Parts: sequence; structure tokens; C-alpha cells
Amino acid sequence: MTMQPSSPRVGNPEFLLEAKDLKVTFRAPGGKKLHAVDTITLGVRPRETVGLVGESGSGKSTVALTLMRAHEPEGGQIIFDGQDVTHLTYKELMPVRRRLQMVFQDPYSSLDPRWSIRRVIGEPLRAHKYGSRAKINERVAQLLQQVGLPPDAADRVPSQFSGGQRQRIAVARALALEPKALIADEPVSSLDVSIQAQIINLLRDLQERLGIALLVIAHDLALVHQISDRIIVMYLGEPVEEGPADEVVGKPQHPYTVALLSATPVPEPGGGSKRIVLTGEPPSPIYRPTGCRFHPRCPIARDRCKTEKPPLKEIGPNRRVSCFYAGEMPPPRDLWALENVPLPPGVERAPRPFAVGSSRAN
Amino acid sequence: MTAIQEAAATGRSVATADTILAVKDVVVEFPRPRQNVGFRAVNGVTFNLNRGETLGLVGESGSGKSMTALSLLGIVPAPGKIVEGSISLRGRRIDNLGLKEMRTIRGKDIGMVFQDPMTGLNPVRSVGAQLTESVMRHQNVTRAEAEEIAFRALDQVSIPSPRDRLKAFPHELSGGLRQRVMISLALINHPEVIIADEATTALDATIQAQILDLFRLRLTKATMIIITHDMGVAAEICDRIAVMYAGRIVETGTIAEVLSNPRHPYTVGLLAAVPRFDIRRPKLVPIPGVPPTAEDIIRGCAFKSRCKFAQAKCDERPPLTHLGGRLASCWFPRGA
Repeated sequence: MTMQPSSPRVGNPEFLLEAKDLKVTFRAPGGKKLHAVDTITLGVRPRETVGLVGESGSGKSTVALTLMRAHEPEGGQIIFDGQDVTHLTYKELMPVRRRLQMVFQDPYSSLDPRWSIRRVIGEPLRAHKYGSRAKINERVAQLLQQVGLPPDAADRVPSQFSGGQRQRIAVARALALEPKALIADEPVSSLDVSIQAQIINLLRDLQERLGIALLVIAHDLALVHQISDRIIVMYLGEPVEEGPADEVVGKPQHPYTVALLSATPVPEPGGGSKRIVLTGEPPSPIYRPTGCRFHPRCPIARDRCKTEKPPLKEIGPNRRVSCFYAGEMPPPRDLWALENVPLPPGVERAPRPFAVGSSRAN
Repeated sequence: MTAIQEAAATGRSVATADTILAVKDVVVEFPRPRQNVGFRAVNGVTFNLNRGETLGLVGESGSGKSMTALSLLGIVPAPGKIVEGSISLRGRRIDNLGLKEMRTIRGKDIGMVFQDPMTGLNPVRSVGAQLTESVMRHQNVTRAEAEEIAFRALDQVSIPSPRDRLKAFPHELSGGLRQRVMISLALINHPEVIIADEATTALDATIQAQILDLFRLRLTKATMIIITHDMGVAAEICDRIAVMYAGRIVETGTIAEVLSNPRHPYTVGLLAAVPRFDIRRPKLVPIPGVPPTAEDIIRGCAFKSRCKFAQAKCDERPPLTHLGGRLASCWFPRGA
């Protein structure tokens, strides 16, 4: 074994999975640099769910893949369970990967179409020499049950399952080795709404039961808000705002977070009339704007924002934002004011966070 | 009260002099291999679209919403075909027209915006060439006039520096701009009806917001069918919605009616499954089970296997019936 259990633990002991000043660069055509992630620092505690939100090109998926060591970071450190894994070799990574697993976005391309489900879920078990064939089959049956699939699913192939069922299979495979942490990259974005909720509930259930840490990457802020303890909002390769889920959504400080919140269509008659619509599109990560990366699209940008880059500043416990004028742009509409839309049976309306005198919702 | 107002107020799709598109009992069927019962992707869909009205067809994958749109344009992919029902545009049957006649209707009378602008646009021709081609095919104008119309069309959908963009190829534009080009292409011949199939689904949230604003603010007088899986999108730009499940409309009415007081258990479930900021619950409320697939043969109510209110009666198919102002097909409707 190349792992050294006796070596001293590094990093913040609070966190199970940690990224410190992580920077990822790709080579773009013409020898230019594409700054995919520049830079992010994050930590996920055991049993905690952290949501990483952003639009395409924000670098959120690159963060996920780099944490898995599928991309090599240009700078920074990745720490998992007290061990610096940034530069471990493929072989040294094996015991790490056993404890840190991933669920991908598209269950149509992440499962080999010719393999039986038994083989798909059993693969990590075989790779990590879990035990005899009988023992592996027993574990596969147990996993199928955990993710809510019938035992006879083991003998079928992926094409015989719907998208939601395939994602259950992907979750079962990720859980096979009893990981301590799970990274899920857009785990439900290819699924229908009624099925999305099934998979999200499954992830939450399993997390509670198995006590795993969860890093969820998604573009849907409403969805991330539902499942996360903490949220990190990314724009053009860097975090612009982070904090407890209800605070980021209930009292957004960065103009981009406010715009993202107001951009989410809500099933409310007459919705959308009070929305902040950003002009333009996210700039290229090859040619980034100077100063604040968001300033060309920012409704409240001033001269200073064009030249000076705002630091990610601590504004409260676990609460950070990178904007000189944080909190100056209030949300344009009250997302808690959906009085016309009835609540689903058995559900109560959440108290408004930060209405006068109230604290964190829930 | 005008007919539109009345239709909007009651959610009823009454055919009037203002009716642009009348769809009646349309069935789109695909043969099943080795079986004599075909798969009905669209199974008896009826609605009327009045002038200036925006109708949302909402449903999940496989509900038949896109196939309904394709049937309106006469481009149902083979071996599927319309086997029953009628489609009339301003009183003229168009479901039985030949290829050539249909071609004069597409683009001229009915404009279409597809989900993926990369497949909806020709990758090897400039934006300007595609726009002018469409103008010259349907309007009696010179090339120079057509180019001017193309310029104005891009300007109309708020594309910055439209003159330069005419020379651009689709791959040179961002996703948001490409979708704007698609919309200008759909609008350029002033069609009677615009059909937008998941026009904002592939876009990022802030870009989707821009396109929704375009629909909401610039196309207020247009007659449109919006096909979407997203109740939020429908709520923003539609006057009426029709919720589809397994090839049928299960509930239809005004946006306000259906969203504030959904009656069909599927509509209730769909609304409950959407993550909302105002509810932070320990768990989302999914609809159990999976929707029927093309292999399933449906008897009675298609939703019954997933419905917690289903009873023996549901083995019999519930008809679309008036419930207050709207129509819903359920023996045991929710709400009141």
C-alpha cells in the first residue's frame, strides 16, 4: 500500500473534502490560456451538502472533475480526509477514489450499453477486490434495493431502463464502495421534473442513512436551494458569493446572485414582469474582463469595478461575497410571495427568511 | 366581451371568427412492430387558438407535446402519421395537404422555433443568406429588399450590430444569439401562428430570461403555441395552458385558473415537484413511478398507475369535462 495512514493529517480538520486556491487552466487554440477555474477555495464537512451553482462556462463542472483528479490543477491543493491528494499518482489514488465517488449528468452515456446492470454496479467492487463473485453479487443486490430497483434489474441492460432508473443505477454504482463523499455533477438535469424529485430525494435519503458528504453541481438555483446546506455561486471561474442556502437565496448580496434568482421562472401567474434581465452573455474565459469579471453585465457597476478586482470578503459566519457594492441591489421581486399558487398537499410555506425579526428559515 | 376575452376568461377554447388554428381530435400513430395496435403519440388532441393568444402545451418527455407541434406543420417523422382528426388554419384544412402546398404554409403561415438552434439553422450558410432565402421564397421582393427585411428582422429581436451579424455563420454566434436568429427567421414572413418548441430549454438562466422577455414584451400581439416542460416558463408567457400526459390533454384553462387551482392530479403533482424558493421542505414531492412508454398499451386513465387517488372507476377513460371554467379529464378531480 502506498497510502500512509500514519502520516499527519493536513488541512482543516472540519472538512472532509477541501480545495485550497484551486486553479485550472486549459490550453486554447493559438496557445492562449483558458482560465476555467481561477481560483476557488471550498470545503465540504462530513454529512453536509454543498451546492455549487453557475451557468455554462462558470467552471463548476471543472471544479468537480478536478477534485476527482480527472483534470490536473495548475495551482492549489486538494485535500481529502486529511490527506493531500493533489499530486498522488494513479496507483496512490486508488484508495482515495474508493472513498470519493461521482455521479455524472447523463445516465445515457455514463453506463455501458452492453453491460448488464450487475456488471455495471459490480465494476468498482471488482476493481477494488471486494471479494468473491458471490459476495459481489450479494452487494449488488443490496445496492439495487437501496436505490429502489427490483432485484431482477441486475440481469438487464441499461436500454431497458428509463432515465430516472438509469440515474438510480449510477447512484448505486457510486455507493458500491461505501464512499465518505459523493460528487454529483448535474445529477437530475437530464430528467423530467416529476422524476428529478425522486432522484433528489434518493440522494438525500442515502446521505442521511449512510452519512456521506455531498457536493452537488447544478445550474438550477431553486433545486440547489432545496437540497443544500450551503451554496457557492460561481461566475466565470470563481466564486462570487457563498453562504448558508437560505441566506444566499433569501438575502443575496452579489448582483449576479440577485439576477440569477430573478431569472428563475416561477409557476406563478404574471411571473417574470419584475425581473432583472442582464444584458449580454457571460464573457469568454480566454479573454476575461479586467477588474470585476461581472462588471460588463452588472446593473450597478461603477468605474472602480472596471479596473479593480473585488476580493471575496467575509461578511458574516460562513458568508462571503466578492463585490464592492454588496447588498446594494435588492431582489426585484419577493420570491416568497406566491400567494396565488397553492401548496402541494402536506407542505407548509416556509417562513420568509429575514423578514423583520426572523432568522434562518426552516 | 370579445371572443378572445371570453375564451381567456373561461379557459374554454371556443371556435370563433378569431380562431386562427382549430385542432380537432388529432391522432398521430406510429406502427408497432409485430402488433396490430399502433402507438398513439398524440391521442385525440383538440384545441382552438385565437388571434393574439398564446397557448402553452406543457408536459414531460413522451407526453406528445412536440409531436402535436410537428403534426401542425405536417412534418411528423415517418413511419408516424396523422390517422384521425383535422387541423384547420383559418377554416382551411391543412392536415391533408400535399408536400408542395404544405411547404408554402411552413415559414409563411406558421413559423417554427426549434429547441436547438444549431440543428434548426443551416451550419454552412450565413445568417443573412438563410433569412433572405426565406423572404424571397414567400414574398415577392427583390434581393436588395429581402436583405433589408432580414436586417430589420435581426434588429427587431435585439441582436446587436445586425448588419455585421448577417454575414456571420451560426457557429460564430453564441447560443443566445443563435436562438434570436431562429426567432427572427420564424417571424420574418409575419406568420399567422408561431410555434416555439422548448425555445429556451438549452439556454442558461440569464439568457433564457432575455429570450422570455423578448416573447413577453415584443410578441404580445402574436398568436403563439409555446411547447415547454417548464411550468414557470409557461406561466410567464402564456394566456392559456394545456397540460399533456401520454398523448392527451388532461387539463386546460387559463394560466391563473390552472396554476392557482389545479384539478387534475397530474397537474397537481407536476406543480408540487417543481422546486420553489418559497417552500423549503425536508423533501421534494415526486410523482411516483414512470410515465408510460411507447411500448405500453394504455387502458382507462393513463395516469392511474401513478395516481394516489385512483379507484376502480379509473379503468374507464375519463373524458375532458368542464370543471368551473376549465377542462380536466379526471373522475376524482382535486381542488375545487
